Amino acid sequence: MARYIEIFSLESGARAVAELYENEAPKTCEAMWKCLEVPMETDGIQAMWVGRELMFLMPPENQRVDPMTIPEENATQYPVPGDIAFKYYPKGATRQVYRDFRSGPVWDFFIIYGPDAILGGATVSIFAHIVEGLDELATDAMKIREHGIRRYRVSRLSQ
Amino acid sequence: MGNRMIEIEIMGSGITAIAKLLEEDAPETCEALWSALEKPLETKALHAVWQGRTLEIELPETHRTFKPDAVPMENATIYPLPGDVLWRYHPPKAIRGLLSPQCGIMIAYGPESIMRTPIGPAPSNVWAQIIENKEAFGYEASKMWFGGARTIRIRRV
Repeated sequence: MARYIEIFSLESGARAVAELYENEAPKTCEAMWKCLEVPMETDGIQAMWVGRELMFLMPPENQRVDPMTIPEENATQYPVPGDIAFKYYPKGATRQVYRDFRSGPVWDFFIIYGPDAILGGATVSIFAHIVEGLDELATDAMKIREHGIRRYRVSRLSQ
Repeated sequence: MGNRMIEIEIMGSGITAIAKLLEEDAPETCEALWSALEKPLETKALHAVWQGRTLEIELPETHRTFKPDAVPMENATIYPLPGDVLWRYHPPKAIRGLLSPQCGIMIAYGPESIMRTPIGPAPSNVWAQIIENKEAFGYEASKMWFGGARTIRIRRV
């Protein structure tokens, strides 16, 4: 029985729906579904190396699993538009510059919203894929670069 | 006789960096861009989406005083250092969905700036280097990642 999540832009009302890759990434899906026991409401950030990526730093109230127990599943170095991925970085794992967010643990929940995503050799687990509203979401996400970060809500979609 | 200098200001921040032109290393690029700055340039700067800690500035038509495709590769790199001011040109229709400048000035404001496009590494001419207020400028520029576009002013000293 497929499970779905919704990505909603509080700024514009843009809405996308993604189907979880239950077969391909079962443990990651289970973890992400648990994390979304309560909706994730946070800023959408435009990536600075990957290109057309909308990233969310999962806030503490959604950090409901042990991220170190999630194995790599359905992983790729070449995500395509619509792919939703999760990657965890322990505290201090990546270089910190300008007091940016990377000093603490990073729960990176991100969406590839257009072509030409460049991960630079990093491998990420794809646990869901947008099946509805990608264009709408992409149009909204494209505005972040110009106008700055904006609020989104990611939540479980009831059947 | 010293090198020519430019001022780079992120408008509204009170932060102005001074950069010296690398006349020996990139003579033709310096000549082209100095001529472009006959009138001060005040235009939009965007944070990079593929190039890391880089500010990207499309040179507007009003300041294209030279043929962009006539500037040779000079002092080029794909791994700028913080404070490097770069130039790169792509023919308008060459690259699908390009979100970097097609005729552009870039400023590497911090480490991990990479000159590239979706079709690969993009050697860019380093034609100036920030020699004053580099740290303060870098920090102010870093706010654009979350904050969005800012107006930048570049002018001859």
